Amino acid sequence: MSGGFAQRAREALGNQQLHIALDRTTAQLVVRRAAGLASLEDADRVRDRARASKMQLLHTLADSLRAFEARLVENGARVHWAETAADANRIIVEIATKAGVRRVAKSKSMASEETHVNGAFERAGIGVVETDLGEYIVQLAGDRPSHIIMPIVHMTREQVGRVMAQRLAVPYSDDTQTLARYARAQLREEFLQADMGLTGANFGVVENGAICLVTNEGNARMVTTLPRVYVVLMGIEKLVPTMADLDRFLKLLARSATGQKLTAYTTLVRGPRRSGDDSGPDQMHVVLLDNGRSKILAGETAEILGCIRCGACLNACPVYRSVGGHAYGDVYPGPVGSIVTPGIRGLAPFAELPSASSLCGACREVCPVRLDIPRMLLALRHEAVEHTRQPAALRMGLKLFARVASRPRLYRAATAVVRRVLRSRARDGWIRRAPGMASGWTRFRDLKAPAAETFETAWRRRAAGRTS
Amino acid sequence: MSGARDAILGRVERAVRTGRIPSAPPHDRDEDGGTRADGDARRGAPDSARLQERFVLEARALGVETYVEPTAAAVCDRLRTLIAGLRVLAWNPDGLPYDCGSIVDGALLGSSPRADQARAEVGITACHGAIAETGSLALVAGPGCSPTVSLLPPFHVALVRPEDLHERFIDFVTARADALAQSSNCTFVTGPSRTADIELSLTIGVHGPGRVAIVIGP
Amino acid sequence: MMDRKLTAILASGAERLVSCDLGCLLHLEGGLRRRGAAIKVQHLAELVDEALE
Repeated sequence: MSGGFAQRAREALGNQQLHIALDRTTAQLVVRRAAGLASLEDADRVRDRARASKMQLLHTLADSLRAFEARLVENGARVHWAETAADANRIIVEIATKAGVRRVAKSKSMASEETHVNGAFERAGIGVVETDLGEYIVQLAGDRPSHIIMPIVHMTREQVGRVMAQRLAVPYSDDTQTLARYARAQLREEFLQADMGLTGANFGVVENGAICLVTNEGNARMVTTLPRVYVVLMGIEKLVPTMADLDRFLKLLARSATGQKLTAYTTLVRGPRRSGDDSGPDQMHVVLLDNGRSKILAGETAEILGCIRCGACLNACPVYRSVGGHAYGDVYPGPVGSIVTPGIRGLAPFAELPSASSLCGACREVCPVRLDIPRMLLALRHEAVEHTRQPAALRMGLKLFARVASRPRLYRAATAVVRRVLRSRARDGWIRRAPGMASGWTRFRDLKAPAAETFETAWRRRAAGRTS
Repeated sequence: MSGARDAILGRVERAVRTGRIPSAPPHDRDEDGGTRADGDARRGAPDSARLQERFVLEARALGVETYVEPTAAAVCDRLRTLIAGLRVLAWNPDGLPYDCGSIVDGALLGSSPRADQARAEVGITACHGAIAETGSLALVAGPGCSPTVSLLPPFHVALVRPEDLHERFIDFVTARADALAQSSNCTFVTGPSRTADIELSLTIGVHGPGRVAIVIGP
Repeated sequence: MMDRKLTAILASGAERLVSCDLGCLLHLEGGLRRRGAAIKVQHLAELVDEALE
């Protein structure tokens, strides 16, 4: 990862192909989401209740985790706790090694992206394959996903065709049906041969210990049914209290992500295979991952832990739609990523992210859980200024401004100077090239010259006129 | 690793004291602790004809072939036609309704070798529930009911009885809570396997069946 | 982002652009001027004021 957000964003803006791909998909997803929510009776009420149950859950998270753990154990699963990404990877590789696992089939999971478990498997000499079509192509191409639910939103079908032709030795095609058939044939063998399945969890149901997984392709079903060892890696915040809550979240997730009423396959896993079953894993493990989540919970952005990873805020965000997911520099892109990434990886290396937003509020508008993303972005900006090193000029400038702005007389005098300077440069009330600090503004647009008198003096004059 | 467990739970407990977690307005909470679903109050139980109509409508919208047959014999005939000439994988025959068991005599079963199951061309199942509002089939794994049957072949045929129908997900989950508690895996199938990963263009039959047919009997 | 908005605004054929956010107004009017577009840009209060007179 080179440079900061600004540099990556500049590169992305110059990438014509990326724009075509982003425009085609994000705009359509916005339309589909709107249509999907319109088909939900009482949508606003469902969202209110979903939000309420998530927030309630966060208030009592420790107790919910204990209850969830107890249900998992009753269901016959083994529970592991991981404080960091490295701990999680070590636990998972240990499970695999102990069980003599040689090949792992993975269903799409943001948590495992976050811990980079693939690298850990490879270092241990264990083969791992992504089975979600988009993630599989990402893996083949040696690329990175750029969207939470559409990992290759940044690629055109022609690019996908070239990757497959090159890596799978199949004839080139840009027909999506053909490309999907190639993947089906390749991955079918992987499913049948894998000794271990690894998934995340869309939801964990506290009342019965069920792990809920949704996929449209059916890969999560394969991974939870065929291999003899099954491992779930999930963040500690992914719980919902009851099945009634789950019902609501499933409706909201599918509609917000793709506009569907329900994802094609919704699976509830409650432990390893039971006696008499013909299929299902012999052992099931659940790894509960903290990795910074408890730190997020302790601060201003605790609310973000209610996120259900639908991706709607990405599609709605004018910044994401312009620069794509890679510019955000880590696993979680878009508005949600600008809050989650600094939370789990530390604010200092990602201090620019909270500013990568115009605070237009489109993300809050579409969020199924009504997370107040703009408020959290502002809180992080504040924190970034307070606690991370800002450029000296900016620090001095802000300090100076604070001094001037808090002394009315000085402020009036200073603005009078600025007004005079700017007006002297204007023609027809507009400035084409502003001096000093204002020059950034006029790189792309004109600057309106200040009015002849300030609002304050105009107001006084009018008030005086009225009373006399 | 009880060290990690205690450390995480301790941090979480301390975190909620300082974290800014919006509190939920009481009217947004479930009065009864969450068992009630939305909009229950104004709703009576819809009659079975309307449930079936809705189910068929939703399933068709997903690209599922649906057949409504008046008699058990007609269901069997339909099934024979659908699977003619195909290599069959099925739930155990005594678990299939409408005396269809004999039709799948000699078929591969969930207990057959994996490699053989993987070569089947059609999978035949009943269902434990059918959800009208989403057009979904609920399939609960158990003896004789292997999830591989509805997953590995490219074509899935499901037999549905009118008494399997429920209006909503939560209705099914409540009504069949016992069956769910005894199973390690329950899957809701809502249309054929699909993806839109490449340029959002809809592609059918990625890992699961690309073709799904539902036969509803009397 | 500004370019995208301006293109959409101009394509709409509107005669006026009205907003209640001063930052947005300054930003978009500056961009429109740079493009040499003649569309009138107003604050909501200006529009109301004009209508009342």
